[in-house]
Amino acid sequence: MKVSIDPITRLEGHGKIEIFLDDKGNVEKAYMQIPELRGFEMFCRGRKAEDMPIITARICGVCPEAHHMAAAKALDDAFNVEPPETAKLLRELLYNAYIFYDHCLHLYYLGGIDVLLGDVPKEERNVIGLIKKFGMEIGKEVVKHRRYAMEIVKMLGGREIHPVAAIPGGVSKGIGEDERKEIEEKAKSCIEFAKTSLAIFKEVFESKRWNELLGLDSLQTYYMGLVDKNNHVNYYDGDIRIVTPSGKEFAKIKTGDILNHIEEHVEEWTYVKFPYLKKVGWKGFVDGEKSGIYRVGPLARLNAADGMNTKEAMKEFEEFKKEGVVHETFAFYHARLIEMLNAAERMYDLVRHNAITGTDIRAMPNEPDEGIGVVEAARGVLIHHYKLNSHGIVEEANLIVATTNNNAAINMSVANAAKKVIKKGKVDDIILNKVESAFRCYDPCLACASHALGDTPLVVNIYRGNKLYKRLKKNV
Amino acid sequence: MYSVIVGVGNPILGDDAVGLEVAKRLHGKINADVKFAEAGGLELAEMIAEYEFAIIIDAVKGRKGVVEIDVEEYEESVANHDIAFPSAYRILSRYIRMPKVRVVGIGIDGMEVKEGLSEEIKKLVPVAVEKVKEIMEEENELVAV
Repeated sequence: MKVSIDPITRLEGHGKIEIFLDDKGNVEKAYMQIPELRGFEMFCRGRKAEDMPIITARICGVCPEAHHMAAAKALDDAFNVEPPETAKLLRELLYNAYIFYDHCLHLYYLGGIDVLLGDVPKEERNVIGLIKKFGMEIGKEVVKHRRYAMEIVKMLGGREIHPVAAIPGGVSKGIGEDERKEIEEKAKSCIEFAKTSLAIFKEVFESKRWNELLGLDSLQTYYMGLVDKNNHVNYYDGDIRIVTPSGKEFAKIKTGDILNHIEEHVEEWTYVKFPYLKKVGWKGFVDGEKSGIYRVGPLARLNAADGMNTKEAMKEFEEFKKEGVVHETFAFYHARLIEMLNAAERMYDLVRHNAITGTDIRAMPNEPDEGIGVVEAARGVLIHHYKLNSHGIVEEANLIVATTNNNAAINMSVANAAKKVIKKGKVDDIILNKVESAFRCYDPCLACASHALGDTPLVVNIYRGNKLYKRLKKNV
Repeated sequence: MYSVIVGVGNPILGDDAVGLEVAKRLHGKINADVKFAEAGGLELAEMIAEYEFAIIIDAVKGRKGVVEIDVEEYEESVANHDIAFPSAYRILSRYIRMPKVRVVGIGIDGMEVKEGLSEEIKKLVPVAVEKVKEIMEEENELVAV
């Protein structure tokens, strides 16, 4: 018997989960598959390097700021240029506004519904159901603060949704005192809203239902995240820190070295690769210290760090990690809330920095070469790697996105949740939603994760009972 | 009337960019703000919030030529949407003033990663421009009544 959930609802892009049941109707195995194909890496070849922050931002309508910034940083590296202090501050300010509104989207419109509403009927499993349970006021606050953060992105990035301001060596646009004051006011309000959000979710975190959700899946993986010199979480810049499942530092590396530390495993049933830690190795879909599978994203960032770079978020971090590394997949939500507070506080701190209204916002690039740019997208480590020729034209582009980094773990989480909730063949809408909810914890962006160009290889497997009955192939 | 015209599409997905191209042609030639949305769903709904009237122009599959689409049936062509536009519109309507919306769809066969429109779709751009102008005139008449 085969159960399909397709398309996965309330996620960016489209995906497919396939669950295979044994003779007794229990789950034997489960997979996540991504049918959507896009061809950005090949499309990028032959382009002018300076176009990359604009082009790559079009990979995804949900996280364009992350691609924009990863591309700009890869070009800083490729042109061997260090942006001036004001440019770095402006980039980081924009970036924290993006983290804030992206987390807000996931917590209140997408995955967070699973946490706040629980097993409600399908028609109420949305933000309307949220209003019904928590009242109109919270809805108004969500809309207002998402807009605040988006307006900050527009002010700094020069455009709604798709920013254009980050360029090799800095930014194309600074801010004056009026804009600074406006951002400060908005950031202050965002801090209060983030605190309210934590309070709302914490009520659920104390419930029996939360323990059931935490029990759906727990993976003892490695964790990866960007950290500053104090080993505190930083979304825009820093070194990459990897910790073992027990929380011990496994590696702390310069972002430019990241590709020496990971390799990608390929499975024939999906276009999306499975990155793993090269030194540990690929041992299949298993967790533990001997398996090179790692996780990225909010939970991984907090696990890989020793703290947060703002005061209130630091207090929350200490409470969250009081017993050490947290492995439960649903804890992604708690980590996301702490990060939302951190991003708001960080915006407030950055916009009050003396140099934020400075006019030295760009350093001139040097001769082009090869460059790697790494940022923390809302959903985890995002890597852009470009090889440029002497004329500044892209010869090779490789993008490793957050959802790809989490691919192996996502598949394991889906399988674990399915095994927990599907018994003796009993499957209904609420049970399937629970399986999906394990997937949604990661806030995956499937459109970003799959990028291939040319004739699309297609394999269709037709199952009869548990056995492969027929396989159709095209362009394979 | 405080109006906005929004072209929706992805400029590197071939004919999907037709909505952006139509909006570009209308920029400065119509009594409305003109915006370019390379996203759909919630972000598109947020872009038109607090206007009185909005026209969305987007590529659509399964249709031929330039057609007006019922808002409830509108599914954005950009692949990365989070919440479908009709749902996002309904959610935001509860909190902030949302405009009356009309949607102009331009039928395309499919999307591929490339820049530029196909010759067939290029021919539909002036047709869509006229359709938008026609709708604007209709709405202004209604306002006058």
